[in-house]
Amino acid sequence: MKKKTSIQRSTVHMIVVVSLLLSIVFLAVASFFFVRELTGVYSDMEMAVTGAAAEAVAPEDLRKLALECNEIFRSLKDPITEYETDRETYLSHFKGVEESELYKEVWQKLNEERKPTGVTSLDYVLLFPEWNIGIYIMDTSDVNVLPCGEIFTIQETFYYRCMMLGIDLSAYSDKFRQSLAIYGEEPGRDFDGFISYSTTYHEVWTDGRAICIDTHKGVYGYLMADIPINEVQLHAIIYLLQVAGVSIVLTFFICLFLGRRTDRIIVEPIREISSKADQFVESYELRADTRDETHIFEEIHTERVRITELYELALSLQSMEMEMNSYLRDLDTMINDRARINTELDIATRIQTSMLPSVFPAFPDRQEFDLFASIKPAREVGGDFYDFFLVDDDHLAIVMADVSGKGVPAALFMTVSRSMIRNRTEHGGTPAEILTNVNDSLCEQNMGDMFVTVWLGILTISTGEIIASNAGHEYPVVYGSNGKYELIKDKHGLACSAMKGVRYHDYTLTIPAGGRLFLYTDGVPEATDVNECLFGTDRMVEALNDSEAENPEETIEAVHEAIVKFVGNAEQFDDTTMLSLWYRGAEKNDGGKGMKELRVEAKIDNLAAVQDFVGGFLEEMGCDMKTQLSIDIAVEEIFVNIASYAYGDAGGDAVIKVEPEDGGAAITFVDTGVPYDPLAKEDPDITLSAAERQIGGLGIFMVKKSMDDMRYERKDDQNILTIVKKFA
Amino acid sequence: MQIEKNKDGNNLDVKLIGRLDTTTSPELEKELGESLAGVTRLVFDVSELAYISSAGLRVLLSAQKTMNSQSGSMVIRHASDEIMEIFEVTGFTDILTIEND
Repeated sequence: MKKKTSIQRSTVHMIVVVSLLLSIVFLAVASFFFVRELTGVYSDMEMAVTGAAAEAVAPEDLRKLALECNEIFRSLKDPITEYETDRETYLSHFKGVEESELYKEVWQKLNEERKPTGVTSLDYVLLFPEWNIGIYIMDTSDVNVLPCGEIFTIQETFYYRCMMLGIDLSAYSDKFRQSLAIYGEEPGRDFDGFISYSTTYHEVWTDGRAICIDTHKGVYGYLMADIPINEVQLHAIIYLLQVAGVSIVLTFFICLFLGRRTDRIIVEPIREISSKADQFVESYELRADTRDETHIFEEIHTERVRITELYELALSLQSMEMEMNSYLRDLDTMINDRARINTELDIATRIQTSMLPSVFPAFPDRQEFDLFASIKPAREVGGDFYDFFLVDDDHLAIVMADVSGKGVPAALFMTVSRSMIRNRTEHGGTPAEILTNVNDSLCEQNMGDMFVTVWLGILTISTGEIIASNAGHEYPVVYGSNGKYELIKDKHGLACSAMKGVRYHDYTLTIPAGGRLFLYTDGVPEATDVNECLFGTDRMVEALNDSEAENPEETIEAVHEAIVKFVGNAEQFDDTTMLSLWYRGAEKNDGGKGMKELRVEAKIDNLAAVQDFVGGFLEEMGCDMKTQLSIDIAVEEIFVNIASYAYGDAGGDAVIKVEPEDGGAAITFVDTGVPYDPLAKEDPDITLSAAERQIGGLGIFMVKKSMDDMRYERKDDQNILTIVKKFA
Repeated sequence: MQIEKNKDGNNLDVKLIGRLDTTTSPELEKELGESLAGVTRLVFDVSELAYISSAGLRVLLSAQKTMNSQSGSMVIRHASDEIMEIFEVTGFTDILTIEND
């Protein structure tokens, strides 16, 4: 990972680098113009000095000196060689001029002109362009005053040396060349701005003023003023150093200022925001537990943040924090709401269940039947319900229903449906009429497209007859006279509240004495095992038949156990609601006369029930054992007769009434089968041998023989046979 | 109804216990149908028979007919007063051999 630098540091870095670069460029450009100006100033100054000098000294004096020296120099045979080999001798030729009064006077005057100026030397020279040299006539200077006649060379190398010194004098090169040209081609004119070489001052800036020019005689006398180049350089360097110093100091202060400013305006707010962010993150875990609100970003002093982007960042963080707080608040409320809803659902389940009749035995004073019902709600409140209530003394209404859907709406709809069915049933009418009315009422209220399947039956307790109607509910199971539970595939109507105007139909089920009715909701057959296999009605009927239950509660327990065994570990999704009714048969007491009545289906299987019923009555009356046995046999013979012949294959009921009569008992058998008078039948001949004896007719004969009286009556399409037996 | 059979060669002893009525007679009829072949002496012990109806009488009659047809004999033993009365009323005392102590 690359090393990270703070904004402050990187800003300062950038500023330093940029300002140094700028300084260098600035210095270069400035020094260029500065040197150019400076040399111009020097030239002007030198020309002013030479001009002033030329005026201060009489022209004829200068001319006289020039001509004398010219004459001496030109009179020498080979002056340059002589100068190089024997300078003393050479210079001695000019002693005469040098020591003259005029020479000294002129020297004094020139020197006086020079002194107050920056000019290092003011020379009066003669140029000899043909040899590319010149000689000093006089040299006014503070130090190293050159003697009269001293030779100097005009060198182009000056120009290059200037370049090497770093001072760009290219702009002057033309002028320099011009000046050089002047010597050779057009002498006699002033020249300025070229560099010559002095042994004392090295490179010097030289300007020349033409004083005594005589091209015919080859006299070129100039007044030349020198200012040493190093002085120019010194000025320039001082200037540059000053500028550089100032710019460094300025840069430093600017950096300092910018650094502080950056720190205050940018870095500090960023640091603040970032530390707040750290704090915010650190408090995260704590917050997740307590769900406390935070006020961390709120503490940022946004009014102090002057950078738009940072200000916006701070505002965003603050609004984020606010959102977060409100989210936490909402979350809190949501969690509370959820907990409350769950509790309410639990309560709803309990209310729903408690509204159903759940105290058993429900009718402890009714001996004719016993019933038990149970509801085991699944995860949530469901819509199953059962109900039973006495419409009047002889009619028991039984309801088994299942509301579509789950949860509170289903529970509410269930409550409405249940009370509607109950109220309507109490007003009378057959189940079909009741369901038709209830359906219309439910449809009118149009409760959110819900519907309810209902099985409604009204049991006539005295007869065991159930008039029932089925609105889309599961098939009922009946345990009849064949001693087995069987699914009754009754005709279904549409579920209630599905469509208005549906007409339901009644049908009749007859439960014999000892018979049973089992009702359930789809939660039972649709209980699912881990392999998604359904429990199904077959398994349910099997469980009912296999059970050794001795009462309705045990019946339901047996089915429930079978479901639990089948389902295993799979979760139960639907409610399982079951109702079991055991019909013992009606034993009617006829208003104090001691009459009892039993209605059963005329089937041989019910023989024991009929005999028990009669036997029980006889015992109560204190009948002796022998009489009881003969009555017992008589009851069998008559009931078996009715069961075998009265109804053919169609089947029907038989009513058995017992009552005391003349110190004994009268037992009456009523059936609605084919007319049959057993008394009319001829008695079998009991005198015949075994081989000749007929199998039939023996039973009735036995009855006739053993009973004290026997009466038959055909009335209202009923066979009414009464036997009377006195007790011993 | 309980039926205890004891076969010894051509002799078959059958003890009837309980009620011989419409619902239990077919059971006895079936038992006898399986065992009577080759039997020359059939003995019914009815000492613990509490009840007999016409259905039971028919089975006994049918058994008597079978025994007659295969030239065997059939005896009813230890009939109680109640059972005897039924036999008498129905004339069975005339067609069955009843031995009481």
